[in-house]
Amino acid sequence: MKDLVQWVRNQSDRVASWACVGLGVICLISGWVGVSATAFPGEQMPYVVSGGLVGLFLLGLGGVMWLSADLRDEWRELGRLERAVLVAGGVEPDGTK
Amino acid sequence: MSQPYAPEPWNRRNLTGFAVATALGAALLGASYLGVSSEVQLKDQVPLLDLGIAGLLVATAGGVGWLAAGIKAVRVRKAAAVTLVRSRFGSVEVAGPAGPGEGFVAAARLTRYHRLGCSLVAGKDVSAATLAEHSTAGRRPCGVCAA
Repeated sequence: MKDLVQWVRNQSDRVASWACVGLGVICLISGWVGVSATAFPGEQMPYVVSGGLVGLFLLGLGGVMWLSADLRDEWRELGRLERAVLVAGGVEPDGTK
Repeated sequence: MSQPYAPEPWNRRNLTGFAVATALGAALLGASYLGVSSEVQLKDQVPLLDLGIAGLLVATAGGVGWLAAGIKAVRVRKAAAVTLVRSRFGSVEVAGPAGPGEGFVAAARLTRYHRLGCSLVAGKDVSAATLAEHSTAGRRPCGVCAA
């Protein structure tokens, strides 16, 4: 349980991403159910917005957050590489010999 | 000395732009939903639906801008890292697959074949053969020299 909490903390951006994607899928499904339940376009339109558009918005946000997490990982990895190169070259990462 | 980098690929301006676009998109979607819900006639709902679509486009533009800024920052830092490695250790050589004309070496009892300079065959009694001959003998490429 402690490991899970730690993992969620470390991967908070990916957890948020999956939460957005999950909510987006729920919105899309509930929108489809709502639209299917009535034949009147005037009654369907609120479901189109709340289910369809909001669902797409959340799916997109989840995708952006997931890709952001990948970019953050790459950024940190480059930082580690730079530090390792500097240390191997006899220079402290803060610039002192 | 390498230049100091921020802890994230994005600066405050990128963050502000993304946050504003996402919040504006969400607000337009909310306004669209409230407006559409309060109207009964389809012709009155359509302009409000357009508002929601505009909100989605604004949020999409914000997300694309955010990712583009992140990708650009990572690319610049990657180039700087390669320059740093070159300045410390000389050229950066990345082993790629061997060309068709290059020979590979292996010993009779080895299950993998290697490039001639591979450290795993240094000092061993190896003989060169073509890729097809090694494959026929059931040998796989070395995982270190990427033969």
